[in-house]
Amino acid sequence: MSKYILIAFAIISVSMYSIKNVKVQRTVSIQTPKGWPEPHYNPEESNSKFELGKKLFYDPKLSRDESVSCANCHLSYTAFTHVDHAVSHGIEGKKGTRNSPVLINLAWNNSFHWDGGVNHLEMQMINPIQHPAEMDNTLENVIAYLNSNQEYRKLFYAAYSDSVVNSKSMLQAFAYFTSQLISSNSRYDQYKNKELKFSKQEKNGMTLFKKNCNSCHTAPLFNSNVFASNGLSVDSNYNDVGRYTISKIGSDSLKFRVPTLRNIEHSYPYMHDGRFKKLRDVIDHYTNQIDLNDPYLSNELRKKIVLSDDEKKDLIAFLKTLTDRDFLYNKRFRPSRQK
Amino acid sequence: MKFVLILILLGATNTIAQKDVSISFDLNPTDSLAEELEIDVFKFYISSVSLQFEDGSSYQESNSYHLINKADSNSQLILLNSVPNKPIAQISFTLGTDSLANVSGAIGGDLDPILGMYWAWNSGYINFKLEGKKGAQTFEFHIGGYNGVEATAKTFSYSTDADQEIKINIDPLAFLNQIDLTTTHSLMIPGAEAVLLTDNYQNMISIE
Repeated sequence: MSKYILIAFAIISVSMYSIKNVKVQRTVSIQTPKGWPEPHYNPEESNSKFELGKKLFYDPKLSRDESVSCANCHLSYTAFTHVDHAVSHGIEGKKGTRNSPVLINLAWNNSFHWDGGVNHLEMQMINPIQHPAEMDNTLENVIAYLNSNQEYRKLFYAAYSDSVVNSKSMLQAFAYFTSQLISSNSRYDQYKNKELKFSKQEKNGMTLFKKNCNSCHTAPLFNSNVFASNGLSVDSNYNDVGRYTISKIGSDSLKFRVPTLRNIEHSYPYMHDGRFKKLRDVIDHYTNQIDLNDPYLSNELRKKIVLSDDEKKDLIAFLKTLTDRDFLYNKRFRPSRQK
Repeated sequence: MKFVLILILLGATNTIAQKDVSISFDLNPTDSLAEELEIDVFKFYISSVSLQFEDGSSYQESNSYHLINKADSNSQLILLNSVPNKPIAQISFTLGTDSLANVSGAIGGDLDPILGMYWAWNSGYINFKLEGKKGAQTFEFHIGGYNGVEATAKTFSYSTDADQEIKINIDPLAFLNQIDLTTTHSLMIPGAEAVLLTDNYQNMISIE
């Protein structure tokens, strides 16, 4: 009898071993670049989810009048923002109140939106779908449209083994695609990996950056997952109090996300309301326009930043090393050719 | 060795006696003054349902999130399967959703954001929604918030001698009667006001 028990144990352990092996074979989609922290969001690798998420991202039929897709405000060539537009534009020419943010390295963010109101990448997408000045649609309509479309049903089946689309699979597909928009091969990264050398100007700019900017726009992501006031006056058109809207804590008034500076050369205009068109305007703000007695001002900015004209040029030269051409011109992020 | 095997087999086949338990919700006002009340929307989450037995043990429903909706009678019944067949002493449940549900991204079933119980701009579930008109006064209360001092989920326990059918009355009028609707009649954001309104839950719940 003991022989049978042994055989039973052998079968159980072999099957458990193989189950374990299957799990090991599954790989996460994001390989953390050298020297970076681990991402907050790292779904299992799936090409079918990537393709599905991308199709959703580029589909204007998600908007109420079928005119606007995510890519209208988040263009791949410009680090997934909308250059030359201070605030985002939705259907019927409606204007939002904030500058559309870049979609870069979102997997490392622990909240989303300029005010951090969204706590999970998978839940972000509900906002532009529903916002009256963006796509002005409902989740019900979008899910009904996807379920009525044979091509989508096939793609959802390929990605989730279920051709019936629900909001969970749709939101996860969106999050999958947007989590893969990773920029980690700028000239700065190549410099850090000793693949190239910086010019004297870029080196000097990097020194100035470390001294004056890095405590908030912290390398290697060049952001921080906190909210800060950089001394901008309130725009009377919008009266946007930022983080306070979410937290209702008085000291959070006028605080906004500290955005990444990766690809900053290509993501103008700048600030949450897109008020500055040029990097030079931004730097001039930090050096000349901050009221050091502003009660809401972040502590990091309480000491005046002094830069000479040449130093400003050097700093901009460094900021341009954060441009990642592999990211901006990545064909994989562009719409797949229609059949 | 034979003896050991028999013991193992006995353990596997001799399952403990079980029963199904139903929890039904009655969302109608118990008061006769209810005629002047019109309800357009009344829905809320019940989560973390558990039963405590007289012997001190308990049963916890797994993945326990239920959207109870006045407009959908099917939603007003929770069925607990395979409950140990022991005398029930007490039922516990949470009105609202726990923070785990609020921070875990896209979830399906009763937590599907398509069900109109989710705030997208300030991530989190609306735990309790009551809209309508009392007399001439319209009202809309969307109560939610999960984070720290803004948490609005509340847990309640009631003793019961029911064996298999537990009936719970959630009386919207009892909720509203505690509020001066002329000054407070609309709330749609998380925060201190929402937390204050959850003080009214206690009086609206009764169990048969």
